[in-house]
Amino acid sequence: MISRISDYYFVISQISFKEHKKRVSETNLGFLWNILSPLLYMLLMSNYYCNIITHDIENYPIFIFTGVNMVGFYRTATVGAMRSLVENKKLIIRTKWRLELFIYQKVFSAFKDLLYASIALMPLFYYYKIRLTIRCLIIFPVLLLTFMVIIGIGKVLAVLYVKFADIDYLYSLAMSMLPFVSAMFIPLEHFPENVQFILTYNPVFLSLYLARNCMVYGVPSFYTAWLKLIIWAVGSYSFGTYVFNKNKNVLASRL
Amino acid sequence: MEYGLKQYIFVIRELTVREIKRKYSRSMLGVFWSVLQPFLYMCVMTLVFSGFTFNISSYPAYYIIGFTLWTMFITSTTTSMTAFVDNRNLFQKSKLPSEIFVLSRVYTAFVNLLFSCVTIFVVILFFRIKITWTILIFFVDILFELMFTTGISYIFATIYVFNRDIKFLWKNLSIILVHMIAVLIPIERYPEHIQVYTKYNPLYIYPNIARDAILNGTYNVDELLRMVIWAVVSLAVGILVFRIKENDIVMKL
Repeated sequence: MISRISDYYFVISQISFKEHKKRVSETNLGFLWNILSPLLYMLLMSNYYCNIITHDIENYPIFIFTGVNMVGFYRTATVGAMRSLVENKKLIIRTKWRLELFIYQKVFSAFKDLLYASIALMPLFYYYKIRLTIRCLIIFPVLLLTFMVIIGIGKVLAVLYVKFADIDYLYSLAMSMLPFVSAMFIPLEHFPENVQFILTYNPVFLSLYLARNCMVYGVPSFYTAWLKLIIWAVGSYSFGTYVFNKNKNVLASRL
Repeated sequence: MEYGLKQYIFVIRELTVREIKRKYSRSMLGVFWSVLQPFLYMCVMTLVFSGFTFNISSYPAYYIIGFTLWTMFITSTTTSMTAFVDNRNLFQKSKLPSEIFVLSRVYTAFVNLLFSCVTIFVVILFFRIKITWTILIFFVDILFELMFTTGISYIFATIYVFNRDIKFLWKNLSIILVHMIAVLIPIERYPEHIQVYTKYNPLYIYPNIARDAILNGTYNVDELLRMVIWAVVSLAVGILVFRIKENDIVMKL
């Protein structure tokens, strides 16, 4: 997997760069909007939730910021991957590039957004006096597992979307529910008991939980969370790749 | 409008039909999604908020009425923003006035609202909500919201020509706006000081009038007055801004 990605890294990064450039073209602040937009979003969201929802969580804004970024990453990456093949129809027909390329490109693009948002997060970390410990490095395996989950889901969605365009609406419905079922702005303990149990199987919740523990709180997480996320990552990636490869021929003709 | 009102309306309807067709070209259920999607969102939100106790007769109905009226505003303003820039080739070069580009986007959003009204009526029937004469106020309310939305859409479309940053500002603002107007949770759940501000927000007023008219069978003269004022002022300002800046837009595009 790694060698294949490095082969096409140049293409992926070029397409992503062009996409990002197009997004902020002709604006006054230009490139700055990549960082300003998530910053603005985080500030507004946290302002709202701090005022409306009563809470007893320390550093609640940071709690929300991390939630917003992780959920946003999942959403942008999977929705982008879903539409990637149909959007790039012309390119696929004309070139001999592997179809996975377009999916990886969308995930990479979403990851870049996550990086920009993290840059926006840095001054806020400083403001709320969050001290980063050595545990921060744990974010790398968390990200790797998250990538695997997203790529798997993205591949399945992409195949479905080519065959059955209505999946777009169904998936956007699921995405609208996502903030409420991944402890984005309410910590796990605030949910009723039976619901908590279900939530802990949500990969978005798991990624977010692990990320928060290592970056914000600097504490270890339950090994069960790691276990569940690893199972999700391996399962999702293998299933996604399997479905994708099985349907490759059909996809090319359908497009 | 030397071209005549009939041709004017015809072109707007044609543009709208084309956009709707294009949107649903690949899907199986097609236009039916305009009815189904609000319904599904309503089910999801009802599920999410099922643990909460609200002081309203029926949360699904509460949600869907508010959400439908909000959706029309937000899709209209967001799509209208790029209306002039997208049609830069035709701006002022065809026989029809350039307002048509904004109006067609607004009309598309309005057509989607009409589809969602089907869902509203299904929900009303299902929950056996009593309909009184106040439902006429609902239709009047939609009309005024349409006026209000048109005005704002004109303003945004004009600003966007000169300053593309507004796209990002609006994207972020709209996400926070939807939370500020008591669409998802009733206003009683908001802290006191915020309730005061919210009550003057037009985006709260229009859904609230609609909800009162349908669910409670009541109306509030103050609110109705505000509804009219916001609509008239917005439309007037919108057209004014557009007319003043029309020549500058031609230069820019």
